[in-house]
Amino acid sequence: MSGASFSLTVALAGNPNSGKTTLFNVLTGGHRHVGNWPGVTVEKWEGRATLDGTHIRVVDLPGVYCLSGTSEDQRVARDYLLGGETDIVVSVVDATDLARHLGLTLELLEVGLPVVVALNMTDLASRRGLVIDRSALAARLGVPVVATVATTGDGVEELLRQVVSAARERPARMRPRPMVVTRPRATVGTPGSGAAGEDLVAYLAQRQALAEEIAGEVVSRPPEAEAQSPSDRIDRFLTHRYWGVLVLLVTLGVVLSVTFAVGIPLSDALTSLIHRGGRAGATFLERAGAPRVLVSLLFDGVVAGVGAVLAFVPPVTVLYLFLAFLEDSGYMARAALVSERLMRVAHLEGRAFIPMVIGLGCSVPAVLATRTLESRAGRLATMLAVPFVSCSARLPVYTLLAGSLLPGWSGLSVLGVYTLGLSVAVLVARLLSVRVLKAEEPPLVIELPPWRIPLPRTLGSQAWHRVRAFLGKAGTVIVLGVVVMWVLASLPWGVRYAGERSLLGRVGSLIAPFLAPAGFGTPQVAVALAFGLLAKEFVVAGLGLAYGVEGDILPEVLGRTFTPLAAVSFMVMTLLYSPCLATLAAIRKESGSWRWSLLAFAGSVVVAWTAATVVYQVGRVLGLD
Amino acid sequence: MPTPEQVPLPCLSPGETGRVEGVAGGWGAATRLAALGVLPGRKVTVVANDAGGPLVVAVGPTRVAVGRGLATKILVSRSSGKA
Repeated sequence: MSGASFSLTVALAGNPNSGKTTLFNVLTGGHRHVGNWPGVTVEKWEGRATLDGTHIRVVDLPGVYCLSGTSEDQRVARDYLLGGETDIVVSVVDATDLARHLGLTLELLEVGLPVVVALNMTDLASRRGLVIDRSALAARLGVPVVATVATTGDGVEELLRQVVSAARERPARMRPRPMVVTRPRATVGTPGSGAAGEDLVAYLAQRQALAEEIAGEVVSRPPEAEAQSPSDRIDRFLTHRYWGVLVLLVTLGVVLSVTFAVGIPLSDALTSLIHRGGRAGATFLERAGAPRVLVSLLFDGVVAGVGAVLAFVPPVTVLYLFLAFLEDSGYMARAALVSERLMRVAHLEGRAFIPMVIGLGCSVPAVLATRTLESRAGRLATMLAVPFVSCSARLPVYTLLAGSLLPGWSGLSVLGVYTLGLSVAVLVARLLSVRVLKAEEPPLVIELPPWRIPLPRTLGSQAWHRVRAFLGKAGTVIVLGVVVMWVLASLPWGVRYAGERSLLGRVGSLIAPFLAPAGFGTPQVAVALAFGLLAKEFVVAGLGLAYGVEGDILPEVLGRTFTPLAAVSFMVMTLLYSPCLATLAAIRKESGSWRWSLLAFAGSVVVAWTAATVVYQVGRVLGLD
Repeated sequence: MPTPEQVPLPCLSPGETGRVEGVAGGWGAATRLAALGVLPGRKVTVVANDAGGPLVVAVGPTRVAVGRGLATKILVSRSSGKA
């Protein structure tokens, strides 16, 4: 974080669902931001905690069950902890399931890291009648143990004090013994053992056995495994083949419809506000004598660009809130379970269902939603496949073309297009996952976390921070893209915006011959497709601008330049070709590199062109022209 | 080698408890199970066992969902009574 100087760095480690993130939020208050660990698809939350004027940097590591292992999450956590930046590791454990959570704590101690244990969710533990002897636990582990209730903030100050005093007692930054695994030669904590994955299992068995022994000593009234508690009954219902799927579909339907019912009007209001402000500003500047080029650049270019970016904010924010709610409450894990079978066809985990469905609305939050997937390969395959699921911005193109050139067939053709999109998405995911990324089918083992009521405060702040982070990175790219488009469409100065004689028009003329085999080889179509690179919403407007006609005459003009078969192939092209710039930026953000965005762009253009050409040529052969 | 008393996990119905005897198959699955507490010697209770779908088992307070294919590789011996 800029500006502040830190006395020490603390890393938060713990199992998923240990309350680690809530603790992080409480520790850092408003002083936190999210980024990506370089080169990987894992989120990195960093923040600042303050105790009596001392600034402490807090890093929230990905939740892991074990440091050893090959998943991206584990590697990130392990590399960071062994990297030497950490002064103290806070091991967050769930007091209601101490035996299991202590396993990771033991591993941290074994590796030689300085640990302070945060015994979290003590409120839930006492509600269940569990009594935990903290001092006995601290004595057994050899480190301080602080009772915390992250949801209320209890114990957090004490935790910070213990952390600060623990840091002071350490002579210098100790380099921990590197004893953790990579695959498959595992040697963790079992001195002198050979190298094999089986050793890791053996190690885990030992680790858990010790954890259970310790927990047995310090916890009174261990919980009885109630096989049919109310939560379990709910789970049986939610993971049922039919009912579970129904609940999932209804839930997703609600999420999507509310997101767009609330988000779109807000978006439109925001956009029109910006336009009006822009026009007012333009008029003012013109009257003040500013050169027209400059005014046009500022308002048709920059302001339009900013408007395009801000238009995303309302629906994306609502979506993030929903996703955070589903995840924090515990429902997401159940939903993932139900979607497993369906997603196996695409060689993806059940969770991948969520981004795919979100993609029907907008690819940008869909790509961002891939962060909840467990494996890196899964995240990448999904984020590249998701743009093929037709987003709502492409729909106006279908309705325009089908409406003007395929009367009577419009409903069917649109349905066909959506089906094609879904099929291609599944195929692409499978192809990438199996051949390119060579991912193994992840074994289905997931924890179903206990049901929790998420705190509105947490939901709000998580969503806010994620939207802000996205705007920062993607926003710049989009504004730049719009400005570049403006330059191409306006120069040489004086030509009709996006007309034949503009640079853009000339580029369109160059590309047009390549589009001919697909049935739409005119410069105007090329220009419209170019606009579509910025945002699919602009394709229709692009057609209007390129042909130089108003919206209501456009269908007529299209009727003269397209044949019905060409309309179909153009719909296929629009469906499949390049994700919009915002999506490409999102892919870069989530994957950690522009490589994947480039692949998404190039790959989809190839797929789109091929598909459109095949449709057109086969159609001609069949005499459908 | 499975003895006659050992059965694959999916043979248990919801509510039944078994003691894990072994996990056949790759180490990838075994480590994930182990980290969640599904280890030889532990008692697990089946929560959900819907035909064709994944199983949900209780390991102490933890609830773990396991794919059916993987579940068939987990061998358990039936226990009577509570876990």
